[in-house]
Amino acid sequence: MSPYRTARFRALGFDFAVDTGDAAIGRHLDAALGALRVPGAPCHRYSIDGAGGGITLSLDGHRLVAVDDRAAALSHLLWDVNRRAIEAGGLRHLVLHAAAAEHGGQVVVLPGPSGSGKTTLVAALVRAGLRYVTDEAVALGLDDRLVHPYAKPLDVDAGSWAVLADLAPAADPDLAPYPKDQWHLPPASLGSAPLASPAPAILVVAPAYRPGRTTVLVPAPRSHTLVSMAEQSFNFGHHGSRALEALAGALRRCRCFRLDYADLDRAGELVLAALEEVAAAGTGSEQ
Amino acid sequence: MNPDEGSSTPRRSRGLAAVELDGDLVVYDPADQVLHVLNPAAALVWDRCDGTTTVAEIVAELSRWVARPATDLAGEIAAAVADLRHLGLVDSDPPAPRA
Repeated sequence: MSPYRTARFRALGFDFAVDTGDAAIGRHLDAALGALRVPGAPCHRYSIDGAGGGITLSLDGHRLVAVDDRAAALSHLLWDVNRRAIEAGGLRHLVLHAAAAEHGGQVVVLPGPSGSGKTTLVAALVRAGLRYVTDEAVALGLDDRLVHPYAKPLDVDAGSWAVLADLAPAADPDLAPYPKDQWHLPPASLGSAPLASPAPAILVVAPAYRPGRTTVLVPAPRSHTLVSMAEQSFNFGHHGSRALEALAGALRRCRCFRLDYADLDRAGELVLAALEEVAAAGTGSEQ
Repeated sequence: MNPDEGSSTPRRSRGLAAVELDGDLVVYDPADQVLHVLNPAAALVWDRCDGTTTVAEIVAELSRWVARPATDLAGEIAAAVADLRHLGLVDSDPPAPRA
């Protein structure tokens, strides 16, 4: 196998490239991470070595993990990139466990724990015409209180494959057994360019996937939304009162809701209607 | 409210950070890394806990604000102070010495 060197990427503050002898893996990463591509030489280098009997993932010459197949190698590498992005980005941002999409220079933030349906919902919103911001980690500037772009690949778990079936990645025998239990979708596959510059949040919708229940959007107090978002953040405790001020400052511009959903199309309609209403009002601060 | 409670001078705990959102107060305790939401009434009581004002004086002041007899409010405010103390948002200062 000939060596493959990916482009250089910057995920929040984490700057890296990947070397691999497996060109299929390299091409997959170049596509999945394409929205994070930057020119120049990377600060850190992953390497993915081996095939068949075992694959080793290393960073800057230090072995991170050995896995059995390409699917596991890809998932672990992207998980590691995200972890280091949150760590690096967390120096200057409050990093919230949330997805986000943007329309007209204004952002809707979808906070929630794993399994709440935020990746599925943000995919639906982007297909409806919004721009992708992120599906996992919203970086809120501690000073400017704006949402900063982090267009990571969408990690779509198998439970959502049926409702997003048209986004299924094409089968590639060279990447087998990918996708085993997770798709890594390039933002471009959703059909719009991701957010490129920081923007203010004006709407917060906390989704909770509740199969069999009626899909409803219910107003939520900003104070309780703040607590929930802080508890779901990756680094609120690290920044303490500064994070409190930044999050409160951002939320004063937002209207806040809780979304219980079973029907993805209806959930998307409700969020779009709320976004339209808040945007028309000019500010979310009149709640 | 017993006389000891009335003469106590609760003080907001040191090191807390707070922000106001729509009348609610969100208070962050960095030592325990915990957030508390105080409704507007509890926020008002917490704000008056300055270490010099007695609970009886807080009752009198708030009774004028909300135009309710102090006797009606005394129990509620004593309970609110007790809750704030339990949450670690006010210090458990000993009651002020009686004259």
